[in-house]
Amino acid sequence: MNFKWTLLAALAVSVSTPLSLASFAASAGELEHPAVPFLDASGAKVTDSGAPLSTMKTCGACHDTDYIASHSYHVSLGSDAERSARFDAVTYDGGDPAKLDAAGLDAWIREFGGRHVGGGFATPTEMNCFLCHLAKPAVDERAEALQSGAFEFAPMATLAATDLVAKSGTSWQWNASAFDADGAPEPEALGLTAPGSANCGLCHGAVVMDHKQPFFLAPSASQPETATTGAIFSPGRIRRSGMNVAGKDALSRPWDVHAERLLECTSCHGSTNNPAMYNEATSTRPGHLKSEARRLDISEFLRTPSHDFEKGHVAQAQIGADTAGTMRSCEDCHDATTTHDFLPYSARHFESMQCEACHIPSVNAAALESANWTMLGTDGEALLSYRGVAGDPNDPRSLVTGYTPVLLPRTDPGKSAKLAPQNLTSVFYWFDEARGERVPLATLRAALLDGDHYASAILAGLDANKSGTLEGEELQLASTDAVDAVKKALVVAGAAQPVIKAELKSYGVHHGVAPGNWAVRDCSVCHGEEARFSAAVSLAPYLPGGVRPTDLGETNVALAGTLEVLPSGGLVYRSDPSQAGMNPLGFEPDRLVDRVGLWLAVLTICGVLIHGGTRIFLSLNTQVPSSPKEAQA
Amino acid sequence: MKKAVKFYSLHERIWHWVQALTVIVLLVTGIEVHAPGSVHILGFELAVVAHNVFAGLLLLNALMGLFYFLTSGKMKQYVPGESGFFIKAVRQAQYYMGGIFRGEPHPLDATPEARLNPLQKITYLMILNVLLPVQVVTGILIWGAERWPALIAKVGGLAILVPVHAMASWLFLSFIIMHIYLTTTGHTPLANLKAMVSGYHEEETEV
Amino acid sequence: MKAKHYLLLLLIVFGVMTATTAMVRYQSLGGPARSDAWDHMPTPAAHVNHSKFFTDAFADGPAVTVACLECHDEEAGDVMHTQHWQWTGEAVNIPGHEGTQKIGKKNLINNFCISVESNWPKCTSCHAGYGWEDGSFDFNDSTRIDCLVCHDQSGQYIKGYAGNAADGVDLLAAAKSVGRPNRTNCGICHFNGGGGDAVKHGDLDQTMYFPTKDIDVHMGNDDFACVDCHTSQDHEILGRSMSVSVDDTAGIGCTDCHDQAAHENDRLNAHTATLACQACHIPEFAVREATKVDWRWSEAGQDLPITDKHVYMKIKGRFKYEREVTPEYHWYNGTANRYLKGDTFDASKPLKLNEPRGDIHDPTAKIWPFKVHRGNQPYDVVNKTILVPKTVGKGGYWTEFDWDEAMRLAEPITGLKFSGKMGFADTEMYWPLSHMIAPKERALLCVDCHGEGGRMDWKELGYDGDPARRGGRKVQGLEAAQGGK
Repeated sequence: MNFKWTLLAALAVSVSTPLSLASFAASAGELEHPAVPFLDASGAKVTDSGAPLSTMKTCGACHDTDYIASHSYHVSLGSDAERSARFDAVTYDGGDPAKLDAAGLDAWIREFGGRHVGGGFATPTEMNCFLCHLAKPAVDERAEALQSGAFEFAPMATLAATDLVAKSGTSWQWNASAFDADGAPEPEALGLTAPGSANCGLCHGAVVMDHKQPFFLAPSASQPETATTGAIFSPGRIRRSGMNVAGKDALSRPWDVHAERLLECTSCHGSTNNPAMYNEATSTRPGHLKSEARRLDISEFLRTPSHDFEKGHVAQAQIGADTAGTMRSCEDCHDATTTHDFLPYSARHFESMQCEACHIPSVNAAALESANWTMLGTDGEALLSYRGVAGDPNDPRSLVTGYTPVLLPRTDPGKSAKLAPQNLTSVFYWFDEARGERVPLATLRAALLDGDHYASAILAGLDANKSGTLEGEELQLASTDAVDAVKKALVVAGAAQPVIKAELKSYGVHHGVAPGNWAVRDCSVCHGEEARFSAAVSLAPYLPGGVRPTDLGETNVALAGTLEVLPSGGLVYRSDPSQAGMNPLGFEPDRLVDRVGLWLAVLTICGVLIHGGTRIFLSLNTQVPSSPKEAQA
Repeated sequence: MKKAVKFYSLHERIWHWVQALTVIVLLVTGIEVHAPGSVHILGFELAVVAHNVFAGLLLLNALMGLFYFLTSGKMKQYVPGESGFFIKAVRQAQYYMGGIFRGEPHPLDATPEARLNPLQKITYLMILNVLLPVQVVTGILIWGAERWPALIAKVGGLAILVPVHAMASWLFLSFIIMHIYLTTTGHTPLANLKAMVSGYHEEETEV
Repeated sequence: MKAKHYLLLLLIVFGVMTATTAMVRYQSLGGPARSDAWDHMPTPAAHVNHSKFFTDAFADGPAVTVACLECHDEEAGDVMHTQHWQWTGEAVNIPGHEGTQKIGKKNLINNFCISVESNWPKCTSCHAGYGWEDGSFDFNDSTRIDCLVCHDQSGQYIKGYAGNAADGVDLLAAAKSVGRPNRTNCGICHFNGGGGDAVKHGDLDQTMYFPTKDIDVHMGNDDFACVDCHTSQDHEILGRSMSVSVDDTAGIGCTDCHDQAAHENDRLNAHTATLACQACHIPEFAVREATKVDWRWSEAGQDLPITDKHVYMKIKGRFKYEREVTPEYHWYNGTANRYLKGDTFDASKPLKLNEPRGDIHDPTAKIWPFKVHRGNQPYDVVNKTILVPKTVGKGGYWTEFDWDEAMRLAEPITGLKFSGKMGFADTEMYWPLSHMIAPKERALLCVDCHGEGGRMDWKELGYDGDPARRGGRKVQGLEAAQGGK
């Protein structure tokens, strides 16, 4: 399994490395950070001991690293409840790693540690400052070090792109010539920076700051924001990228207008106690104060910067819920009332829709549609289907048609529901009812695969055309026999009572904002029978085991529409905004009143025609006068 | 001998035709707002604006009309309740359903002081005093969904207001079809139309 | 009777209602009123077909001119006042020099082929006249005006030695075809300056005959002729080239047609006080064909096994050509300094032959995009002046490859004393760009200047740092009441 993970990591890396290099072409400016002696875990200089670096001790000389590590949801992954509720449909990571025993935690760190900053419950590791504060952190080397079990070398491995370290076998050595007499590396050699968008992009989503180089990227598990929503944070024009986007020539807009206008992730997602951006929350601030001027001193902030960053409200991965809604949102910088003169009923629009509903009119990239973990590919990963791309999303030649996000009502605490653009997806997985948890990935792989091909028991049950492998419909678990075959294999592998469960997951589309003149201006996009609400959104190409997901569970996004299974077996969603209390004029899926009224009018016309026709007929054909006057004449 | 009898004053005729034209514009723009795909005349945005403007004009016209009918006393003509009302109504209905084909005379000989037959009285009462107010009020509330969201929510929100407004519109449409047709049941098919334009009914008198 | 008035009344009422609707609609949906640039397009004069006026063949160019002058005598007088004929401008004061002088192509030094003086017959093949072979050319002889170079529409009119019509040109056909100047009339000279296509300007080359919309939006998308922007008054064609003019009178600019606040976005409009339109709307020059960016005369005269004329020519030296070049950005208030023949200079640093004037403190100066042509050229080590060699003709460098002789032959013509000791000085020439205007879909993005790796050198321009983070020159307190240097 480690080998497979390496292979997958290598694949993801080979796609993301050129990307990360491109993304780093323009990261945040260099800090003038003083030279800092590198210390090991015991506090001795690494140039003396040769031992690996301890970020807690080294950076802790000036910055309160205990405070930082304990005020960071990137470290803690939220509270116990929040950790337990995790389920990443793309990587299958979920549950509370803090509850694992030592061996389980070791395995978790090897498998998923590359996507965790270290420290907190992941006790053999330390919070790795370099991931965000270095200009070019070597995330792949770090992931390799973690995967091989050499946890203590992870921070050193992150420095692989500098001259400070050299790899030797599976461990790392210090390059003594790069350090001064105090055991501190030259600041220029180290290259500490303020966290740039590219640093965030390493784990969160595609960030390509070098807009001069045409780039291509495929959805990847290492960039979940892009994989799940298609959002790309880049200042470059879409038409100049290397993506095969349909209608590219007309798309002269930048991928994301905020990236183009020089904003960084930290412009909106800063530290909650950063004195430059701080304002006391409305809930505690007295009514007579617009803004609280008393705040942390800058030097205090540098010593104890909270790493609980400001964030919004997302339906997925709800960790760090107490920082939800603290981020800079549209209204904090933009005053919509001065720029929407053209919009009738603007207050009504602002009240019923999020800004993104019109300002992210479409997403010009592929995004996840369905994650099927009930069967695996021969690589041991899920069967993922994507929307917005015709063909294999890893192939640069596939046409990227993009998609229009569906509008679902999102209710933030203390606010009324607003329609927000979302990518609505489905996920299917095996659930062990006896243990009350998802069947672990290791069990799944043990049951379904034998090395890099399917287990013979599985082939026996599912390989209808006896081709020796499973493909196409054979993977869909369309018959009860197929489902039973897999169940048997799972039981053998250790899952006591496996059943298929299905869930809907909605991912908010907030990045990839278009410039103002590209926003939706045409009323008929929402007001009319051809409104975007009327389009059926495909949620899954087929239903494994026939299991249907029903709703979005307990998230701040709700469905406002109906789920329907097509004759072809696929699942689609049809919007009905009236279910959310929204009634856009001109769009009414059920026109009972109109049908009745039309019939009434038609009947009236018929009555008039018959009555008048009779009168005309009579006056022409008989002596009966058509009017009293004629009668008198 | 022909005699021209003044039936409709200038106030009434202006009021009538303004009402007619605004209602027709409202119906057309209304259908464009309600079902944008079915009609493409002004475009959704302009249809909304036109609908609002003409609705305001309709309201103004209706209020002026109300004022006129009340102060001139002509309101009495619209009020049913004279003796034998029901019988007269049935007679009128019989006329329309049979007598008219046989060339019988109108049961009601209309005079300027008593212009409306019972069926007309009932219809206009419903139209002007029930349907029109409902239409206007729901229309104002739909327009005001922006300004008075709390009030709108109290009456059930757009989910109630829009279907009611739409149903009333269809009823208005049916009324107009019938109304235009029924004006042809006068002394001559065009007599009533001419009267509503010139104000005068031309009649033969016995003299 | 009453029905008529009635109807009229109703029509009025209806008209009022419709007008109200229209007003309400356009009130709420209109934006700031922006004037339409097309309103400023010149209306061409009506075309007069000249084919019936000429019947006999013409012996030479001047013979055609004589025929033209039968009707257009006044225009001849006008032409003789212009720079196209005189190859100098009106007398102006050149900063750093006393009094006023007339300067122009006739007497200025550049760092391409250096100077027209003593080399006329080759250079004057692009003179709007016939027979300028040497310094004795009579600028008052109106029969020597070349009408055809600008007005020929037959497409086969070519000039050669000393500006005379080339052999084999059918002058009668050319005369019959005359009309409003088209792109070829201008381009045949202006695209080939410096000795070949695309050499000199960087933003003027043969791709401008039929550019695509992406190369130049006016020529490629809107079907402009050169003369649509370069309008003329009495044959004085408006437009200024910083290579031969130091002032900004009789120039043309974007705002002749476009609003200064031409953008919907207020932030972009705020840039127009500091940036020339061209800075954002010409993202690159030499978009399709490479232009010369470096010319080392010092390497001339060697027999090298290089056949690529874009790399080396024995008569001229070594070159560098580039395409899709990022411009350099400098302050420019419309006036320039000019090195004049005979000026002394300090050879220890590159000599700027025509430096744009203006700086961050000058409120009339804006940041412009420039092509900068660098190179080295002969100079007198003792007298510290740039030398003019005779290159063309008998005894010239291009036949004899003898610098000494070239300088001595030129000396009596140019008046430049030659001490006998010659070196090569580094020089620079600045060419402000105004052509190859990209469509707005290709204009620069914020990150092109303000992002990491942006193309502006803020410190060099005089800013403390990126104005996007520190504020513009007004905010940074840099715009002083007094003018620039």
